[in-house]
Amino acid sequence: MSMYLPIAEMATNPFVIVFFGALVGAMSGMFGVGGGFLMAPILFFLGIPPSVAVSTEATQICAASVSGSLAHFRRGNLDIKMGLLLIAGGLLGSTVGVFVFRWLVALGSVDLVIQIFYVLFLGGVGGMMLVESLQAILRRRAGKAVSLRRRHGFMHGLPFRTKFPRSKLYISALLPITVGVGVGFLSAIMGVGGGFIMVPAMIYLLGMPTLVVVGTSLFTIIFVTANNTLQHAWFNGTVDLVLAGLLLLGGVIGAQIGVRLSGRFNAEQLRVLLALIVLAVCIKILMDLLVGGPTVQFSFGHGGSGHG
Amino acid sequence: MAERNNSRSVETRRALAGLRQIPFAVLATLAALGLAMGLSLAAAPRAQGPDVAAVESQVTVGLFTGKVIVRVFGSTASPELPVRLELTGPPRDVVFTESVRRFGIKVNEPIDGAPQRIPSVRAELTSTVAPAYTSESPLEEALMREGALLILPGAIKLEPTGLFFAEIPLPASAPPGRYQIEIFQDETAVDGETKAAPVVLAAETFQIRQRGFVALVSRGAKDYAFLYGLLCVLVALSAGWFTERVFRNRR
Repeated sequence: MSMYLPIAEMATNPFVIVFFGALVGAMSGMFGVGGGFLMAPILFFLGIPPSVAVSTEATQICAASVSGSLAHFRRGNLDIKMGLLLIAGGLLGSTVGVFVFRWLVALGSVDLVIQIFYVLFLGGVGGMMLVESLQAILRRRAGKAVSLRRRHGFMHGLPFRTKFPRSKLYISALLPITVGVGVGFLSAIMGVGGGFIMVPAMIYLLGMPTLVVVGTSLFTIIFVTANNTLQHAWFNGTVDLVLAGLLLLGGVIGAQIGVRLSGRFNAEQLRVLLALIVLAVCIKILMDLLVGGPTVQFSFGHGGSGHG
Repeated sequence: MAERNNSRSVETRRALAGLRQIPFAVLATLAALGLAMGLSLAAAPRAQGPDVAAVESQVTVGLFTGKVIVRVFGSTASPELPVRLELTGPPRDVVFTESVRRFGIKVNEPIDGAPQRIPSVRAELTSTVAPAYTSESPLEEALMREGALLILPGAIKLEPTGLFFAEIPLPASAPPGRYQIEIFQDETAVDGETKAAPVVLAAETFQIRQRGFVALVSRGAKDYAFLYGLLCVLVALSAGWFTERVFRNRR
């Protein structure tokens, strides 16, 4: 059976799309990441034109984030105050990011910059998270207390301090706004929701509890991806409602499964799993950059593409 | 004389009135057939009989349409000569890039002199069976890898009676638009010598159009882009909310 995608202008197997949507959705519910960094390469591999893939996955991530964050909200794992500050910073950062992106496009080196950004951030974030969470697991096994949070540096001495009861924090409002700016900037450059950067930033920079981080990250991603969906549909005409529907079908169900699975692991185990997935994607991109002979590729204007 | 003229004009009027009784569609079909036969005869002066071909004039794609397969039927008065078919899809802008190494890193760079606008799909079918075609052009190779260029030797079934039939399996990414099909007979196969330029048996066009829900989404995204975007956001929000509700009640 196949289904025709009106904006991608091609026929595809709907079951394959639903399956991958569910897989990425499950990751979203488990780790609080949107999954854009995984979904984009999968859709490219399935032959969906890159412009349509990137735009449409924003719609799917938005729905999965609504589903996941509502589930976390009902479990008391969502810090709305923190989320709103992150969103405010995120909108500012993504606006700047869009301008930088246009500048890189004009220079003709946007592809390379995106790949290098991916390698640096996925490698850095994944490596840091893996080392830290393994150390935490070892400390827990040795019977020592795990003291991930409450590291007070100069950042915690900044002005405009405010209470975040849900996160049990009393920190400057400038901190989540700054994190939001950084995440928004990178998400505009890299074309992702930014969860894989936001989650470690919330854990390591803000010192939020891991369980609250997941719900809050998903809450923030709702707004970022809803904005992306609207902008792509309005200005580029590249959001495919049928493809989005298939991804949604898998994604929202996967997100719920992910939320349930997350209850079976402790915080450190979840971080090790996410770190391993992030590092695997990083290695894949690095190998693409370094290994393999010269290949000719082509891409049609919107409506058709080919990847060699 | 005047009476004779009058009776003639009455007869003409009657004849015309009679013609009006015949459905317009039938007349149009007959006229089109006559034109097609005439064109075919003119295009193939050496043939003993007419060479004709028929192509589906319109292919529509709906939500559950799979791969588009175009079927071509025809006949030739010279069945001893091989038949060749070329299909050309609507043109699209294209960028060809090549991976080159810069400081050990693979970088995609545009290929100088590569075409910037090519048919979105191109297919070449022949009635002669030949070994699988391998291209020496890296650009052609890339197009073949992704199905934008189809080389199908032996895909035209040519009967000794002169009837021929072919199926062209268009790639999943074949876009809507106007496609052209040209059917040739090369005059090289009779005694191994090139006698003349290829003779065009038929040149037909057909449209791939979207229909139903697919056409509605496509038009909505183009004509009402902002509202379409809002609809997409609304669908995402409500789908997320709905699923959470369903799962919450089952918890």
